[in-house]
Amino acid sequence: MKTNPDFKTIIAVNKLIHEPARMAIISLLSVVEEADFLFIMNSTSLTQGNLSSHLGKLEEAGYVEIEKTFKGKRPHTVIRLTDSGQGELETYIKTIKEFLRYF
Amino acid sequence: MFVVQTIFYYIFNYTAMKNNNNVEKLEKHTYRMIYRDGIFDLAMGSMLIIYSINMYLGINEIETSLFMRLLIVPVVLVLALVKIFITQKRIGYVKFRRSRSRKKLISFIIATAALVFTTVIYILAAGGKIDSSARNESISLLIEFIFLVGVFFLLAYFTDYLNFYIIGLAMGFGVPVSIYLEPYLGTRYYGLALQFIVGSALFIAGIILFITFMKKFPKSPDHEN
Repeated sequence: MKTNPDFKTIIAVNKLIHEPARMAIISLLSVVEEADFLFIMNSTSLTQGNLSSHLGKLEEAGYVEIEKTFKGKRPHTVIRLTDSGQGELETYIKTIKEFLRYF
Repeated sequence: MFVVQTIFYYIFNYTAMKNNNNVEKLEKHTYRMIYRDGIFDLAMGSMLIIYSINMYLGINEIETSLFMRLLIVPVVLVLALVKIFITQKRIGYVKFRRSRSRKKLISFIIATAALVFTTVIYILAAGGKIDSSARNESISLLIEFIFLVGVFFLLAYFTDYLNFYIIGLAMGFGVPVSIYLEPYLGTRYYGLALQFIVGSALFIAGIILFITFMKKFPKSPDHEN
């Protein structure tokens, strides 16, 4: 059986970015230079634990860069999108757009 | 061949423009997060209220007028301190791209130029070097209207603070309405009322936004920021 090439493309889409919460994080980071943990949490309405977990996965994949510093005695985490993350996002958008053309 | 190339060029650019527009919309949406605490509405509302009271009280008295104008400084200062020490810490830190810094710089230049221009006109009029009765001429009113609406519309565009459009219209229409209706109604209050109403509406909206913001984003000592 021959598989439709369009389906093949959509099945092969980057699943790490495809997850809605991570999509929200990456989209947000793509329009700013950098943002801290609190700003991303407020903008995406994710909980602290959820955001930490998603950021960990994105960092592991090399899509975001996380810088941990201290502001006085409190930890301050600044996050920025890497070039690889930006590239993956662009590929993802292109693939999804291409697929949605048929609807 | 040239026609085909041109068509492809336009198709490509149109697609590119559409994509950029979406990214720009997302950037604007993210940027507007900074107005969610209502501080800007409170500041703009206060300014409009003070401005309309100033016009009402000090139409012929320079001292009253100056005092009212100077009242804006502590009000804005207090709101700026609230922003820096209370709300900003709850919103979190974000650094926008260079295009946003350019927009901020343009807004600052427009606001400063407009402020300097109006201050010079005000000083010249107060010193009797400009005939203030010339304001009654339709052409001066039209220029004033275009200037006020133009400045606020430009600021709305560059700062993405959409209430500047409403402020611009209130300021622009306020002066001609005051002057044109005075012979019929015997008072200038109706024009000023427009600015006062818009100012009060903004102020109330600012208070509601501020309370909602403080409830939605409570300060938690456990939060990592």
